[in-house]
Amino acid sequence: MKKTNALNMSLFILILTLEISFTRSVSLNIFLIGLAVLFFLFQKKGGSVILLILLPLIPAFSTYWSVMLNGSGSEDAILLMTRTYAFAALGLSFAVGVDLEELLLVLEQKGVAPNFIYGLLVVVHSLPAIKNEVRAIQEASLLKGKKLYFWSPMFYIKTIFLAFTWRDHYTEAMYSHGYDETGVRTHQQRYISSLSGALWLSGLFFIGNILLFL
Amino acid sequence: MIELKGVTFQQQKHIIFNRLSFVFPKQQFILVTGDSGSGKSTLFRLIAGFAQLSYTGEILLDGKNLATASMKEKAQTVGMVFQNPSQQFTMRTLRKEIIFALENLGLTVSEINRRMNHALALGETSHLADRVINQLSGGEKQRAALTVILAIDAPILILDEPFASIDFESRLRLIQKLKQLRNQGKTIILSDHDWLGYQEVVDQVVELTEGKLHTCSLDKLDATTCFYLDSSENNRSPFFDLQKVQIQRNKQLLLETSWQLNKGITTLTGANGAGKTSLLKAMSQLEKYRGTMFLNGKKLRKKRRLYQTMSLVVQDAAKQFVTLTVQEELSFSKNQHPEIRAKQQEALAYFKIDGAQSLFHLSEGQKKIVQLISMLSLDLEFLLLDEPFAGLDQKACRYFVEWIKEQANQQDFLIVTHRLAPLAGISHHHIVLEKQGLQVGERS
Repeated sequence: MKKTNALNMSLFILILTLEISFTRSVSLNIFLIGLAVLFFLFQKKGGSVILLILLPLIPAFSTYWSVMLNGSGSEDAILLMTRTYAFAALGLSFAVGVDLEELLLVLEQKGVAPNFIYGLLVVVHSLPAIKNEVRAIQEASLLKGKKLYFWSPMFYIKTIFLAFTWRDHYTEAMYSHGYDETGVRTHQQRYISSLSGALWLSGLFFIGNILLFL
Repeated sequence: MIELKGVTFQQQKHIIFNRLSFVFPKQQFILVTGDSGSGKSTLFRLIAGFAQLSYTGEILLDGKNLATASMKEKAQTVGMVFQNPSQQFTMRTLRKEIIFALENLGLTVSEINRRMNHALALGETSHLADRVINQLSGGEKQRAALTVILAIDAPILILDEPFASIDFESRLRLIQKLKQLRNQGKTIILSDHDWLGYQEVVDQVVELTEGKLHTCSLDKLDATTCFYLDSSENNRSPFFDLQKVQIQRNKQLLLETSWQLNKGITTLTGANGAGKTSLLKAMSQLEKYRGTMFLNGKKLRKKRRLYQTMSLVVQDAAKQFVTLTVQEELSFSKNQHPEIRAKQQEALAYFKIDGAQSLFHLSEGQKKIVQLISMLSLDLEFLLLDEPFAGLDQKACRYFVEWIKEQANQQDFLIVTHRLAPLAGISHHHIVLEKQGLQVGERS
């Protein structure tokens, strides 16, 4: 049995994303941004803090200005600006705090179809290989003395063909490792959602919601 | 026991097997040979039955026809290692892949752990278990693929060129381990173009030619294990200079060297994961390194013009291709002499490869052939080759070694290979990558 916060964290982030989309609380937004910053610092991911500052900079300020100039004034403008930052904070927290593989495996054990889970896992795990493949096409051309630019149609045509052949290879390989759509699987690692993690996150959720009434 | 009864299979109107009947006896170690593109991989995939290939006739595994059986049942009967070591893994690490496979079989936790540890020890892959599979070298991936199959522990093992990029010592050890498995009652069918290490191990050699299987004499395997890779009258004029070069992988030092390459054909060997591919990539300025490199006195920089004087034949043939068909690929580079075009057409005819064919439909061996034809017909000063003989039959090896030898008057070569036989007597210099440095190879 392994305790995991993958599902707790994902639900926490999902609910808060929905909540800030429909509520108009600047303080809740700022609370979430602060929470995310503390979380990144606690995880020793200083880079994520910088990313959080820079990534939403242009969209946040352009929304702010457009609402200021053409919209209903500074109250809405600040709300939308902080909301943009809060969305970015939640998104980055998901990227930093949730191990996607673990989340998918937890979901499988909660009864989500294994075809869906393992299909996604193959894609997630082959992403670096796909990146390599694109680089390889570029290098292959270079090695024959020609430079290939990103607008060359060859890139896209080849990648589509590759995706088709890879799909067949992966399916065959999964079958050869005993994967069976209809088969019953066991689990070497049982996951349970951590109770203390769930309590912590619910606590934070309630504190955030109290801010709505202040 | 594997029985083929009147198996007929065709692919895009080409008949690959026509009423093929053959029996692979039980509990034997069988080596299947045959030219590149003769259909070994297809035969193996038909027997294993994991692909949706439709054939007529019957294939019986230990007396049972598994054509309509569940994939789980098939996997428990046949363990298959595919030729291309990429795209064989669902999970991120070998340990997780083994767990995935054993969970698929519905085993208990303790049984999963027992089999996993056993397989990691048997395949000598404990050190690879928790590394990200995408970052493993070609040879390491092949060993990882083999380990998964050892964990599944099916009575029949089908291995499609499992040692193509595995170093010499590991290869001999792994062949001995397969022999032990045979002694424990497994049926092992394996294809390999390199016959080194199989003497006194295999029970049968079966050749696949023109869609038919026949048993050959075991004498075929008597091969020398002694290769001269440095000729005594070798030329000692350096042309490539590595000065204080350091290459790192994941922040760990892989290689540190100052070295001069002499003109002619140089063979570079070394264990799996030692960094041979990284060195070639660094020399081709495709991977970062510290230090400086000179080709004929000129400092190297990654520029398009550099590749008009030197180039690299990469390990995975498919990664050398820019276009979609054989003909497009061969005519991709600029300014080709008519002579070279004629040579290319002659080579295609020799290997019976249709120029209009899609590169995606070629067998692994044929991909390698097309790759070598296209790269050897470039007009260069220096060509680096990474495992050029993997997946090639002996005829093809001879053909390309002859081509390399012909060109060696005006072109220098650096060849990384685990397969030494084709280069014996041809190679002028031998260097070894070990203990994070380069050394002159011992005469062996």
